[in-house]
Amino acid sequence: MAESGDMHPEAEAIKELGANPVGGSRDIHCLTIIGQVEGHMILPPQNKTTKYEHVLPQLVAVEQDPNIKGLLLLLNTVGGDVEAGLAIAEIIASMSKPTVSVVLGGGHSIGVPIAVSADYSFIAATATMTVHPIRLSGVVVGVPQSLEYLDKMQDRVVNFVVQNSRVKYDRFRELMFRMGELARDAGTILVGKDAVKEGLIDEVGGLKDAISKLRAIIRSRDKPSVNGHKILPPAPSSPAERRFSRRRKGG
Amino acid sequence: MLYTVMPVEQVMSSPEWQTQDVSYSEARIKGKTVLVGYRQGSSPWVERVISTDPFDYLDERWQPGTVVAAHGLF
Repeated sequence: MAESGDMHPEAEAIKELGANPVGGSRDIHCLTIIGQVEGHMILPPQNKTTKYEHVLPQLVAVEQDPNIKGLLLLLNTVGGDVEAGLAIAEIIASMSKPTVSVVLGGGHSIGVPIAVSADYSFIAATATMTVHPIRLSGVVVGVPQSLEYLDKMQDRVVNFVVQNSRVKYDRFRELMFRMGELARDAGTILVGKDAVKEGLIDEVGGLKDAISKLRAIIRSRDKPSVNGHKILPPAPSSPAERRFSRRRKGG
Repeated sequence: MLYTVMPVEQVMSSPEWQTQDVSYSEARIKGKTVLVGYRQGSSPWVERVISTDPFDYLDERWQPGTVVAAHGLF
């Protein structure tokens, strides 16, 4: 460990623990979803984690901060806790501010719903997304209810992805249970444009594309004002309508 | 329930050298309640802030991993 006090505080924070300053006066808030999405258990320290108890209130603050016009999500995650991941995905999907996600490196497992939760999604040409079944580990009670529980958990993920992207329910389950592609598991690895072809992600692109798209969405929502009063865009009347409009992203 | 491409045994393993002497305690710093982590030979860091004000979670001083002493919080 380096001795503290010799380095600039921000530099030390980055060097020692990978912490990166956020906030500031910029109008785009950048949120990184990295490593394991940590849920109800603190994971052992060799894991790089994204802590949901920190991300959720941060998103609440982003939603309320008048200086923040849009949210840019950078994903490089191997997955993690189902409920924590879905919680993050749901709160992003329900935000009123423009959101754009970029999958860099990997957006696997529970990273898939988080990636599709944004208004518009990008994937780097070399990035991958692994779609595979949820597993139960440890002692499992050998009753039919265990299987039903597992299926229900899986359906929560599948339904969210289907409602927030262009992929069809049957197709997503087909990708999830495909045999022969992964060495130790069922499932599919989607590389860059494959994820776009399957309808999970909107476009292959990187940072420049993501920021341009985010700025475009911000501009499109900045309606002209009449007599100093801003004309607010009509809010979707129901969650179903909102999700339908989300599925026609980019339009 | 974990949904990850990493083997569960790898996620849950904890080498002894990484877990030894790590301790956590709640502290009151600059009027905020903060969970502080500490390992022998290193500076204490912010594990998480405990606050009902969402804007505390945008404050860079309270980001997880922030070195407490380096930010002049003590």
